[in-house]
Amino acid sequence: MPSRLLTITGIILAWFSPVRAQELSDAAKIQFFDQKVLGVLKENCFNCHGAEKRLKGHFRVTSRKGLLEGGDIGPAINLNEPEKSLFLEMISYKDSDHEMPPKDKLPQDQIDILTQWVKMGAPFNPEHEIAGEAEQVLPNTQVNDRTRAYWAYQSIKRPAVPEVTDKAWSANAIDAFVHDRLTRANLSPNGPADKRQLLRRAYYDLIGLPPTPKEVQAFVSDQSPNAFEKVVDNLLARPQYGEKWGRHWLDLVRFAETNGYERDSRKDLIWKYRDYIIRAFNEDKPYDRFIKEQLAGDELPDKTGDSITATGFYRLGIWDDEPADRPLARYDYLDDILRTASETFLGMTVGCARCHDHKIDPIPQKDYYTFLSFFSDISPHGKGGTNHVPITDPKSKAQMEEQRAKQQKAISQIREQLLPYEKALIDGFAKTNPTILDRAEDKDQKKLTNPYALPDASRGKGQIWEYTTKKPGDNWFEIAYDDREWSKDWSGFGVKGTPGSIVRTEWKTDDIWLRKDFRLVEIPGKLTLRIHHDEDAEVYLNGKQIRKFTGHVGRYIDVDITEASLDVLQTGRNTIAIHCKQTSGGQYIDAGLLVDYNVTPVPVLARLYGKEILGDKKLAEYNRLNQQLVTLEQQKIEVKEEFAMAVAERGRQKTWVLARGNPQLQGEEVNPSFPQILGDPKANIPEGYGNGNQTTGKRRVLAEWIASPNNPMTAKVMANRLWQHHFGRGIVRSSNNFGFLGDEPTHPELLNWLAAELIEGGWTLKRMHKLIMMSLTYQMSSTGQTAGLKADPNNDLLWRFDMRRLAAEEIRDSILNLTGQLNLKMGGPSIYTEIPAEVARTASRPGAAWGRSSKEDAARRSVYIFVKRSLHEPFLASFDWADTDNTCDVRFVTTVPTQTLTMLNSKFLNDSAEVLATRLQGDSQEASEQVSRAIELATSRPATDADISDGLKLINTFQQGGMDANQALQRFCLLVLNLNEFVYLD
Amino acid sequence: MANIEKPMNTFCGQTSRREFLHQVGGGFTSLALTGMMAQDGFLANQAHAADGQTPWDNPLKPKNPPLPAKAKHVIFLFMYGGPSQVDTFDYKPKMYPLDGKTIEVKTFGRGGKKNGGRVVGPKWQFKQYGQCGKHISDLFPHLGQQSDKIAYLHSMTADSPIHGSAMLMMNSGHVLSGKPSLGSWVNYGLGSENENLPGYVVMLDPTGGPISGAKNWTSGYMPAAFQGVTVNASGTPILDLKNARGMSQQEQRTMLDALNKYNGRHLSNRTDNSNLSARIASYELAYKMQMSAPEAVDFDQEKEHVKALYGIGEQRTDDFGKKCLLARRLVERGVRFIQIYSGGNHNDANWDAHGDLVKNHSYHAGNTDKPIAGLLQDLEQRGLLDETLIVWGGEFGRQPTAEYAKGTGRDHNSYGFTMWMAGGGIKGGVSVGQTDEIGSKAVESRFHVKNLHATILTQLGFDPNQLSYFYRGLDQRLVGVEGGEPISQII
Repeated sequence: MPSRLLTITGIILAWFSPVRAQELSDAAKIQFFDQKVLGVLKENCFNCHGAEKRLKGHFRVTSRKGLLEGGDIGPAINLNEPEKSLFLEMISYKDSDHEMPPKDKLPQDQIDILTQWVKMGAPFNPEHEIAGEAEQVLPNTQVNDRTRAYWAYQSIKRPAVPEVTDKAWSANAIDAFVHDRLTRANLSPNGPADKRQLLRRAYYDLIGLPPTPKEVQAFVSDQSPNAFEKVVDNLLARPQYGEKWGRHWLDLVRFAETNGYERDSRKDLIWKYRDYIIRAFNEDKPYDRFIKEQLAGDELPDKTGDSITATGFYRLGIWDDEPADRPLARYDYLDDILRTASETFLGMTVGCARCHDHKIDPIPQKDYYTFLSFFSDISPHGKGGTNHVPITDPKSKAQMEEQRAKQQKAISQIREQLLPYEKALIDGFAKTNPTILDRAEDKDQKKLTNPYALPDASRGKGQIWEYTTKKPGDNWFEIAYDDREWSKDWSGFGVKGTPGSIVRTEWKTDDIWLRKDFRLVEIPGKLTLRIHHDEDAEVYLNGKQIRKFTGHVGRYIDVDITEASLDVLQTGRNTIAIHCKQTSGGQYIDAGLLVDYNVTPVPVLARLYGKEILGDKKLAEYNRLNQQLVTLEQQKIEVKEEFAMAVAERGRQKTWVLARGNPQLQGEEVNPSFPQILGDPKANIPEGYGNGNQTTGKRRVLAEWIASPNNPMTAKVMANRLWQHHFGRGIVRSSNNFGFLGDEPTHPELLNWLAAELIEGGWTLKRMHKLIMMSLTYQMSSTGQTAGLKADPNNDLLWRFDMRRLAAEEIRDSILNLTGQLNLKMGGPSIYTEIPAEVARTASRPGAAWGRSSKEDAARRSVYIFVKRSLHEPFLASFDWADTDNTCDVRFVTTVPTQTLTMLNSKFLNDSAEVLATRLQGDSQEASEQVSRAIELATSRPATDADISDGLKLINTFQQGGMDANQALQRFCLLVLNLNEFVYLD
Repeated sequence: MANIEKPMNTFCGQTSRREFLHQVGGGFTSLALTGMMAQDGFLANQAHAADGQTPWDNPLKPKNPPLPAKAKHVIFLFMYGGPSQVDTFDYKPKMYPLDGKTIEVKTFGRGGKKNGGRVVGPKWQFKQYGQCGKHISDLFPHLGQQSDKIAYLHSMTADSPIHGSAMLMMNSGHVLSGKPSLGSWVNYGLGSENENLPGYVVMLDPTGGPISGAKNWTSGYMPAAFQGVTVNASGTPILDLKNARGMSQQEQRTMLDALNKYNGRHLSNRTDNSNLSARIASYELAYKMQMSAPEAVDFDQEKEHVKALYGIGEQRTDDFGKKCLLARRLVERGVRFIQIYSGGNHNDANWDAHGDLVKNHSYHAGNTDKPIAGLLQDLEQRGLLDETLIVWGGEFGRQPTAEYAKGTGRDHNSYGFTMWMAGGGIKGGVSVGQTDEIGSKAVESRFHVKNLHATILTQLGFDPNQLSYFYRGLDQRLVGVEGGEPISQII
């Protein structure tokens, strides 16, 4: 095809120009350009390549210089070998990845003209050139002395604390900085907050929950000078502190438990990362260690299961299991890690330099790729257990192994003792019935091709079962029960779409009863039940309940029922009967039985013939030993390898600078180094710095550089975050972006001071919390003052403490707390709240969209709710919960009517109002006391007369309208849950 | 602190956000500001004025677009799963005789990249309709009658032929998750004309949502206020709209009045905090929404012949017909962006015809042909078509060849597919772009999803390369950093 095209071109060219193109005079060439070429270029190329603001691919077609220099993928015109020019290749649509103009191929005559023109050496009439501005060079985008001097890039130095005249404001350095700044603006700070307001503020800030009325009372009446300090110490020691502050961290690392996209598959075990974070905060893990563990916990010399779990950091992002462009997807995955790491730890938007030099900050594109190469060896993501890494503590593993060895020894001893009895049984039985045992002993002959006494639905086309969905008679599970009235159909039974199901018969009622006869020619030595139940199931064999299952499994599981069925199993006809119960979501039931004849059924022999063969005494001894063996085997100690989803590396992957971020356009090869703007970029990776030979140690080098006191960003960025979550906003408000487009610090010296304090205090956070909270600045009231509102309405200078709305988790947890239902159980796999059916229906598999937890579990703290990318828990989502696909440094605070609808009409709120009413009625029968108690519980302050009379008036109005007292109180409780004072902190 | 000048001209003429606040003017600038302030959270959390009188700034309050607009509303009819172009609107007469023949053709679908396969000829005959003489397949006898209103885009392309990423692409312009959807951009740019209704409404198929569920109408990095709200065409239209536990309207009023007293007392010494008054106002707004939203789905007000036009009452078309009628009613009530899904769940519950093409497409086209034709006619009769932009299409199209050795099923195809637009200043009776003779890829006037999005934004009065939202150090745009041009041929 290409050759034919060339021939045609050749012919036309010959016809076009009698003289060879190169021989034209310059004037003629320009004339040719003006008359033939310019129009084509203008029409088809100029728009995107230089005539307008755009310069796609950094390629300028509007000047000869631009053409010769070319763009991202190289010079467009090759003067030495014009026919090989990229320009011609692209317009000829030879390579489907590079076709220009993109919408349509040019008509052949125009291609010919351009070809001829290129062969002439691409003459360009200077009069028609549009030189355009050179790519604008911005002063702040280059690494030079000027940009190095930007405030954020300065190394951290403890500034002198300013002298302030007000003695009270000079005891704590924080206060001195704040007061000094206010004084310079002729402002003065607010007085202290009301004690109750302060206590509520401190509780929510540290543990995300309000104080109990008792705690309020204790604090209010505590007149000792260190009353507040005691509160702070107490709160910092509570495990709920880690849950509250861990969640701030989870926002930054865009924590989620699924991968997104079509299947939105689970990140199994990733909840361990969440628990690690909560634990780290509670243990007051130094922040530098916290960084190292998350970035390189597998490479640290003193690594632990915990530090490996921390590297789950790398596995939290979105991942497309079926990307349209695999090489690009690989870089997208790494890019997501790089962005999250650089913004979270360094407050730098390095990710902006993926396709070109950063347009605002001094981060060249090359720095992006040298940074990326720290991560380039990370193994790809995958489904399920792909990145499960063992985290078992070696000590406990050794202990378990020792115990197991002991147990095994005990088992072999009993087995030995059992041997003579077993031999006696077999020999004795062989006398009366030699054939069966022959077969049992001769294992080769006995090789059965079909281990299924009863195949489950996954074998072939399933089985026909008898079933009914109407409650049958009491003895429905007995062998002899008459099931002729029941329906018959193929297994399995349930609703399509239920995970792991093979539905052939639809069952969507609440209950189903199933029966199936099967035959046994002899008693198997081992009997296994293979079952898939969604949800609760009871399994009967020949009238005996042999197992009971609760909940749902999501797949077929194998359960050894040899022991349980021993006393009822018989040759010939046997009957299995199952009752399955369903409450919500997907549903499914199916079962099969697997037999293994290769094990001699000695216990069965003992049951049937033991008495006559062994005699009473020996049989009793046999039974005793056998029971011991069974017990021991049931207590089987498995050396359980614990796993976590964590980082792993796979081979060494080279890194190149990619033009325009395109994996196909590999430029210069690069090695790991640090952003130049932050000092010496050289990253030295020592030999043996990795995890044995499994990793390179690159990540550890990066982690140590970030976690160093010499890093100009790290401590500042973290100190700012601590400030942010106490004051509602950071000293630098754009807490993920300390660059030129971020916000400047309102108190730069204070920020530096806090950063220095963080480092010198050994990077511990609890100390910093206390330092901040003990300041007068933190303890100020939130009320307005004329001067402050006028001069500084945004309170940039901190003349008051800012009110804040509770975060999504705090609102939900507070409601549960108020009603007395909050379950403070910590850790473990995530839980599910009850969600409205309307929300589940937005998923492509409505039945399988969301899980179900027990009522108690559903009342656990919000940080334990399953984080599913395609279905955010609706209550949290409506109150500005963090986005799960991008790092979230500051949550939105929006007020929209749909929130109000949730607060007034949702099942959660109305259920809560009901429980609250019951709680109040339990405390008092007196309506006024109920009202007063509700207000106090919700606001941490005593109810005023107006509060009580308004509440009573409402209840009375409702009662006069025909409502009973309980219902009227519930409505009042709903009102309490809707108070501004309930969700806003002073 | 070193004294370094801020760049005078970075991209989009924007300097730092702080300085930007001082440059606030009218039109687009203030539009971008709303987003920036909301994004910052802290600003939204601050007092804006000391008087305590400053009215609450609803993020969804109506805004004027910066440029003259042709369309005020968009109804996006999303044919989830990917309809086959050669069986619907892209007439390929030369393909019929090729049926069953094996040919060389490059394809890329869920089955990966292939270099050839067995042609599945178009399974329907095409007839010419209207003055424009457009060839339309027998799947759409009703829509055919409307062809003079429609501009067909035969040369659409997308970045991915895989549902997960392709859905995100069509809805948010990117194959990567986490970006705001088209409707959110519109909601952010225009707000809702009617504060009693959401500005961005999504209606789902009875079989369930599309894959990735709410990701398809997410507001991404923008505040949740801009995300789509799922609305039901029957029953309670919006989640939690109905009072719980039998609370009557009067009881609710009584309760809200009492709540206002408490909240009013709380506000009295915090008057400078406009967020508190905003929250108080939101109860009144929700109350009004509760009063007026059910009215929007009350079809009793509609005349029988209008309902019949949409196929309401007929078994196959009742569901989609009601959604289309509700869409018109929402347009009348000022909703800016409405997306209706034809198809949900997985497999043949949507247009994803991997197995029996005839069965699949007959089903989904049969459910939607009459309702959509009815919608076009009804809008036109009411003079609303001029200001309402209709978009029809899926996340991609389908291949000319069979996916399996047997059967008529076609795999996905993002190399070329057909979408169409009507109303809202779009030329009727035109067709632009072409695929090759077997519809395998776009060969003439190729358009990317970005061009489609740019066209929609342009019709709504935006410069698609200017409508931006500051996030993560960048002015983010629906059409991406590189920008995208509208499809000028149909405007």
